[in-house]
Amino acid sequence: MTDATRRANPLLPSPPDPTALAEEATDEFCVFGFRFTVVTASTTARTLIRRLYQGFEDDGAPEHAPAFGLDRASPSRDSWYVLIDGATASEEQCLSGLTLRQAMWQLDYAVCLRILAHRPDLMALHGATLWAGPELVVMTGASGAGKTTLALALAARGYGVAGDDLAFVEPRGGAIQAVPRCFHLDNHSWQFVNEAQLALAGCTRRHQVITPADLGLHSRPAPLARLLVLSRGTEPAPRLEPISQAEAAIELLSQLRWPAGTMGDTLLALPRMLHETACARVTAGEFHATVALIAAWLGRPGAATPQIPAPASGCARMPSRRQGASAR
Amino acid sequence: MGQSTAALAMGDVRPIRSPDVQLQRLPDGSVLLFHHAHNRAYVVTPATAHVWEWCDGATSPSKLSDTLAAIYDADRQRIGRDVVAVLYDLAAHGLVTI
Repeated sequence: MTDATRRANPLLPSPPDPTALAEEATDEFCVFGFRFTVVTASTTARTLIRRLYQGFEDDGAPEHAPAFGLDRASPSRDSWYVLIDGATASEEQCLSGLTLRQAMWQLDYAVCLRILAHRPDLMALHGATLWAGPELVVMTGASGAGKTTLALALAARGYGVAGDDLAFVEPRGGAIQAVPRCFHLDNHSWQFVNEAQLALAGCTRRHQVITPADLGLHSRPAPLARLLVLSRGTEPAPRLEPISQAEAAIELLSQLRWPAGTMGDTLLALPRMLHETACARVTAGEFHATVALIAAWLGRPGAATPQIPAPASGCARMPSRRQGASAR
Repeated sequence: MGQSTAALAMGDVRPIRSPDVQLQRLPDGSVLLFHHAHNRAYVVTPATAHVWEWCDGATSPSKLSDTLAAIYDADRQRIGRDVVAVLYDLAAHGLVTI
């Protein structure tokens, strides 16, 4: 964090935080080719940030890489702020009075928007990304359909969950990779987390910030083996029915965004994305019955789920924008 | 539309597929028709996709029925009735003009 940023931000703590690091720490990350730094003087915040972007660590961020900051606004209160783009904070949002969870979500959201803007050559898919053994599974559906809670319930049964919100699809080959994001849990989801006694780190549970690393996973690209289209039902008994790829594609079209591609390009990419994909529609019913039904369709969780620690650099996975320029 | 079923069956019309529609086959054999102007997608059977593809403005429903009866090795009369029904359905959604 620059001196200019410090001067621009009246919320920076003056007396030292008792849990603060001796000095500010800067971590560098590279997520899908987007290089950025995050500065914090809080050990807790740094732990959460490093867990969020675990597997995407970088040590080659250019000097003027976008800078984000997250710190305690006051040592005496649990109040946090986020800085976006450090020195240019006057043009960006400077948020104050947040809980650490809210601050992490703000940071995560800001970074996510930059990643999306950085990779218009990739299709962005709204959905949860899971692993059933070596198979990558995407669970998609409208917001509020229950993807996050179901994903956590499947994690409790041993399935891997790489993300609950967003994944990138590489249009030429169809590989899918989760974008690292905090899980967005509502009260119902937290109630489940507590009931299921999910093994979570202390600071994760305390601050209610769950990242894919908390579920033992890192993000990596793979072909889509199974696609679940989730919808809310009105009956207690859940239903799961296999559907054709064309039926699944109709749902995907409403959940895919591709800034560099037209709708026609997206249609042409669908066969590559769904090359060997088994598709099913789930109409959710009673929660535990729905989880059991999905688990039966997915099969055993298996042991081939990619575990942390992650490979060295997150930049080396999906093709870079330069390599992937002529996707269509 | 303005055409009667009888006119279609007798082959007096030459259906033409909409230029705003894109056909996309998926690896499992299922087919999607996407109407770009209406921003709507339709799942159709492979046979319906055949019908849509043959709507080139030159082929009559009767000729189309002959072709499909040969492809699917099916009863010509029944295929003829199905083709007419499919053409009306496609036309109702703006996927072909008859």
